[in-house]
Parts: sequence; structure tokens; C-alpha cells
Amino acid sequence: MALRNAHPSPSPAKRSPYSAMHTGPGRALTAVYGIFALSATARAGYQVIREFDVAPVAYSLSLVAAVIYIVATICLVIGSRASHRIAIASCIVEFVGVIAVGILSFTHPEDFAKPSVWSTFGIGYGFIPLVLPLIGLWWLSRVGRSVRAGQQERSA
Amino acid sequence: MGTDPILGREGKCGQVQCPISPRIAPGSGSGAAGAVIRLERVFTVFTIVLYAVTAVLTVWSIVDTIRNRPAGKMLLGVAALLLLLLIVQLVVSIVAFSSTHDVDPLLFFGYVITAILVMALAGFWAFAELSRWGPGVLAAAGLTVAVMIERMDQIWL
Repeated sequence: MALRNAHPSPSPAKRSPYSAMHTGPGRALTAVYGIFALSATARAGYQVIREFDVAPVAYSLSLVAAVIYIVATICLVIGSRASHRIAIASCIVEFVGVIAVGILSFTHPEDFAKPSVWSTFGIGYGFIPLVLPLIGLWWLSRVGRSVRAGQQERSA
Repeated sequence: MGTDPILGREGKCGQVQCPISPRIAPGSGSGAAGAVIRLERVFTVFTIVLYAVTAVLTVWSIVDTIRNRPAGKMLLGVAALLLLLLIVQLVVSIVAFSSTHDVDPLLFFGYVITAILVMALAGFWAFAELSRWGPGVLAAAGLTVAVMIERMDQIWL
């Protein structure tokens, strides 16, 4: 425990209030986004390198998903005003992507002979890709509200 | 141990297949086959150990999250142990890779290295959190690593 106190976090005045994005429940959310960023990148990388011709549409979409997870993770870790906005945008893109790819994998099964991260609404990942952006949006809007409340308090 | 040349990779053998390599020795008998079987048994035991440590980490983390406890030294120690075991897995599989057939190195080592990265980053990330969500991070990482160990096992066989 002494080790933890040896390097205290920077003074609260200097820290952006948006750093609350990656503390508390946000810590676990950021971790899950990070895991998805890592595993989706590894998987998409393998698919593109080894067997891109088998299912180019599905694998390109896997790559897009990986990039969005990376962006969301980085934004959560940075925890600033701008990164808060980009994180919200990437959660929306992510949700739209899961829905769109989920529908496409039913209407155009020939393009999804091999699964992508988001095909069939993320069934290969326990539907976590479907739920994750919703949890992300809920958490980000909560952080946004508490930051705005704090600013009003200070200005009053 | 570290300086011993790997069988069949001695300097003078070079790229040419070395006649004393166990893989191509024609019918060199039960000696090599027996060694391979023993090696496989060691791998099986190691995989079971990996599963066990991952299970302990995951269950402990979930219990700590529910009980609203931050990640303690013991829990972080288990996470470090799992990281160490995964690194051992990486080293052992590099050494033993030539004894297996039809395994795509990119696929297999992709999983091993991703698992190592997940565990290392999750450890630091959990260490930085002083609430129940520190164990929460480790629970998520533990579940992920469990799935990855299963995939590694499938790929190797």
C-alpha cells in the first residue's frame, strides 16, 4: 500500500474533470474497451494477412471495428473534454455499426461466409459488442452531466 | 541450458535437414516418440495449471467486486502469477514449435501475445484503481484470458 502513496495522482486542480471517464465503473469500461481493441486488432490483423480473399467484406468490417475500439479506448484513457466528445461519437458509430453489420449478415450471408467481430450482432463475442456502446453512452453522458453540474456549482 | 543448441539446429547442419533431428529420423524407434508423448503430457498439465490460475483470478476478482473491495496485494499477485505463466507458455511454445505440425505460428502466437498484453495492461490498470472496479478489471481480463487459453489449446492440437 505504501507503494501506491509514493506516487500520488496530479493535483485535482490540474486534472481535467473529464478524467472521471476512466475511474470507478469507467475503469472497468475502459478495460473492456481495451480488451476489445486488442483482440479485435489481433483477429482482424490475422484475417487480413492470411485469408483476406475469403471474405473481404467481413474482414474489412472487422478492421473498421478494431479501429473504432482503439479510438474509444484511447479517448477513455485520455479523459479530456475533446476526448469525451470523440468517445461519444465512436460509441454511436459502434452501435450503428453493430446493428448495420448484424442486419447485413442476415440479408447478405454470402459476404459473411467468415464471421467478422460484428456479424450477427456480435454473437461470437457473447453479444458484448451490442451492449458495450450502450453502456458506454450511458456512462459518458453520466460523466458529462456531473462535470457540467460541477462547473455550475463553481460559477455560482 | 540456455546455451545448448536445439537438436537439429546445430551450426554445421544449417538449413539442411540434420539427420539426427528427431522429426526426420526414419523409424528411430520408441525413444523419440516416447519423448514426444511425455512432452505432450507436460503441456497438458501446464494447460490445466493455466486454467486453474485463471479460474482462481476470475472468481476471486468477481467476489471482490461484489464485496466492494479494492484489488489487494494477494489478488494482484495472482494476476502477476498468471502473467508469468503466460510468458512461460510463450517461451515453451517457441522452443517446442518445431515438434508440432500444421500450426499457423501467426494464429497461435497472436493469441499468446494478445493474452500477455491483456494481462499486463489489466494488472497496471487495476493497480491504479482504488475502488471495487480494480477487481472488476481483473475479472474481465481473467474471462478473456480463459477464452484465449481454450483457443490456444484448440489451435495447438
